[in-house]
Amino acid sequence: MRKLAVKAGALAIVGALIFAACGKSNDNKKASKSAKKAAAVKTDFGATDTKIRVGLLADLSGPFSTLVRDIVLAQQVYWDRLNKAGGIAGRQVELDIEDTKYDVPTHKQKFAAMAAKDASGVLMISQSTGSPHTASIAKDLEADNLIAIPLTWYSGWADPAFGKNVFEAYTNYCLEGMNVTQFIKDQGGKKIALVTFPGEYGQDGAAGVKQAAKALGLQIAYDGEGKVIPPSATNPNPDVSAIVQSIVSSRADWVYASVNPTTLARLMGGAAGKGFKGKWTGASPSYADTLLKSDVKNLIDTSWYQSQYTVAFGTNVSGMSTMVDALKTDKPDARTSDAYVYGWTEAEIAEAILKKAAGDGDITRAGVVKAAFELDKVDFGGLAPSQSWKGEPNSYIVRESYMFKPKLSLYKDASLSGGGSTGLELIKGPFESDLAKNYDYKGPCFKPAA
Amino acid sequence: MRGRPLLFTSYASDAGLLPTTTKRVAVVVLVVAAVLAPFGKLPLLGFLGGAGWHLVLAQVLVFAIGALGLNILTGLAGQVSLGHAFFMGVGAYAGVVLGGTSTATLWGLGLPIWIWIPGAGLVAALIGVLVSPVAVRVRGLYLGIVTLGLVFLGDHLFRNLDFICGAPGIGREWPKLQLKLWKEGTPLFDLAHDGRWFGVDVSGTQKQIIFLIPLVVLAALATKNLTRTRVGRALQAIRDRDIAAEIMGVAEFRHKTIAFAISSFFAGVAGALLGSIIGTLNPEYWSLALSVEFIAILLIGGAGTVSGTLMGSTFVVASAHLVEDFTRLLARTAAGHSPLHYVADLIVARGNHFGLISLEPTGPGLSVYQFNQLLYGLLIVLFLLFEPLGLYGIWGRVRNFWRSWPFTY
Repeated sequence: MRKLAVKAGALAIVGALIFAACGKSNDNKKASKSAKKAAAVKTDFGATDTKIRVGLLADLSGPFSTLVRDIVLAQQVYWDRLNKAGGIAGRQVELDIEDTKYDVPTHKQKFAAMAAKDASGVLMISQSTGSPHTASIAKDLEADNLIAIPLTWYSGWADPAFGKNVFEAYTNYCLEGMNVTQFIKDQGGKKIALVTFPGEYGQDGAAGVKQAAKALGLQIAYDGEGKVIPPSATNPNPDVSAIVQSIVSSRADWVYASVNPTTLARLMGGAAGKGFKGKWTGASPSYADTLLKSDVKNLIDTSWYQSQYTVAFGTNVSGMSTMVDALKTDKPDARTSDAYVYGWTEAEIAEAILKKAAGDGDITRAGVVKAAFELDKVDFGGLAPSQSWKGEPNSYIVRESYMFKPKLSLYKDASLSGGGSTGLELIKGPFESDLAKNYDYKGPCFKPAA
Repeated sequence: MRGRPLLFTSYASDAGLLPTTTKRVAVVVLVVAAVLAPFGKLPLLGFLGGAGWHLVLAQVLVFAIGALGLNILTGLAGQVSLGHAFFMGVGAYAGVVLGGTSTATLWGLGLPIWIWIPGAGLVAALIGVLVSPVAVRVRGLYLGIVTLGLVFLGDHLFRNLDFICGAPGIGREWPKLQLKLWKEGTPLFDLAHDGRWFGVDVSGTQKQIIFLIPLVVLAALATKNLTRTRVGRALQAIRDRDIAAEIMGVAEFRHKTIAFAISSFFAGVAGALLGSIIGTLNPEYWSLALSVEFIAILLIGGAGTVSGTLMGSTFVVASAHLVEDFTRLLARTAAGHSPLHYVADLIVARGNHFGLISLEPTGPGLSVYQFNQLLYGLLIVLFLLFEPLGLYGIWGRVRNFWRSWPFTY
């Protein structure tokens, strides 16, 4: 009986290996109706006569997975729609979505698979989650002639020495910090407590806040730059009590936090528990609309001010109805989330680049890179400030951001078809502070250690 | 003698590393297969030539070196150790301080590879020796807890020593695998970048795989040789009954210290190589989960045996990616029209239809990552219950069946 079980097990393993192996060698060649039109453009890797592969390096199981899943969903809906309308250069766009688990080695390994110099590779990467992760592949992107749209807003991506083939979307943490500090001053704030994760994400924003505070005459009552421990798989609930204590004893009237939603909830809850009555704001990824149904929902309602790089879900701009209608039609049961705007606009950028490359008759990887650099302004229909990557970074970087107020009274936890709302009300935007407007971009605000 | 492979007529041939012809042929075939695998030239396993698999194969080899170290400690000497990740981390950071470039915020000496790889091993071994006065006095569960404490000590140190380890969550870059004589600009052998060897285009990772294979062979031979030396026999005696061994004259504490030192050396070298191959690692990488992965390699492969360790490391490191590729294959089959597509559709979730595993970011079904975690844990439990000797035990049964076929009853 045991021998039989062992034999069956061994056979199953061998069978599985054979399956996996056999699966790779076949390639169905479908006849292409638009083969003539398709053959008119040059291709190398990542594109065949019938399809174009676009890669997404997404965090689907790590600390930002709640946001990233929605962003990926929005991209899927966008590309499905585009494919139904005929695709690009007569080819259907196929997405290669890989889960990087917010882990740098996995990110690199999945990138290596995408960079393969054959049909299984991709033509471009329309999402790369994580600052250190994107930094780890920045030089490889140049070597492999691939471009990537980062899902991180580190100010270094605009610097050709740091991220030449990284095509940043919207503004960055540093300029956001300046804009938000201006907003704090306009609201009458005088003392700021600064708490951030270490690394590009947290400290880039901190650099912007500190510059702005100095210029505007605000005091940094507590400098917690890089002091908050980010959650990880092995340490999912790092201790924040020391940070909370420092915030409370600094008697700041505003807190600027660059953390993630779960950490923010613990900081806000902990500080309120000690009688802290100041207001909170920070980098955009610190907040997620799920906080409006968590324990800290009342705190968010009274004290959190949300900075955004794009508009929120449902904001009344021209491009919103196209996006919302498409999402409602394709995924009516999906939850309502602000993150869809990120995915939609990422896909819009990717489409604009690919269409330009196709229009120039060259959808090789090098052709796509060239097209990206020469693209005129991409217009998002108000979803985000329009942008391009032509010329000098100082002339094209996006400096505007938005300020929203989450309101419990506006929040409705329902699916798209159920008329859900993320509860964000626009205060001002797109706006740029004077400091951001006159900032002379020469490189990243924060330079990491390595 | 022909036809009598288990008959040895001299002590030398009995104690040989590869006593039978079968074993010698098998080792040669395995090395040749390992060289061909990253180029996709293996029959049935051609998918290993894909760019996504190269880093996996390189990791398999580096984990094999580390696992051989743990095999000496746990399989040979019987010392339960959950601290392997700590020693790998120590070795990795010793390697990066010796070989890495220094910046305003990071230490680095920029020394060549023939200093930083052995140096990483030696520093880790030294730390192993420093730890052993505490570790050798306890056994079993208590030793497990002591070594667990090491992992958390390491966790705290690595997260706070910014000038060695880089910022938490960010880490730093490891020196590349490049052979230089001293600190000159162009290396003699550059294993980090793509190039051409004997007229064939090879990528950097493929070169690293070719470089790692002799290291693994060396480590395996060293481990196998250790078992037949005096020290090795002492370790096995300690594993079997340490008090009886002490009474017989085996210096228990001294040999346990030796086991810790050797095992930490292997771990240190493996840690430094891992950092170099992956490029950047953050300080949280050297966690308890990594230690458990090595324990899983030993348990699934077969503790105490070299071939078991190698099988285990291949299985554990590659299984995650195999499952992913297999799921992708199932998704393609489910979308197609072959007779198997019903079965495939049942297992894989597509769109909003039910399925066990899903490649979609949202919707029903476990993600491939979650499925891997489940499979992993399930396999450890099943192996412990039904096949304590692991894959090596399964191989042993298969071999014995065919050895005495058709008289296997």
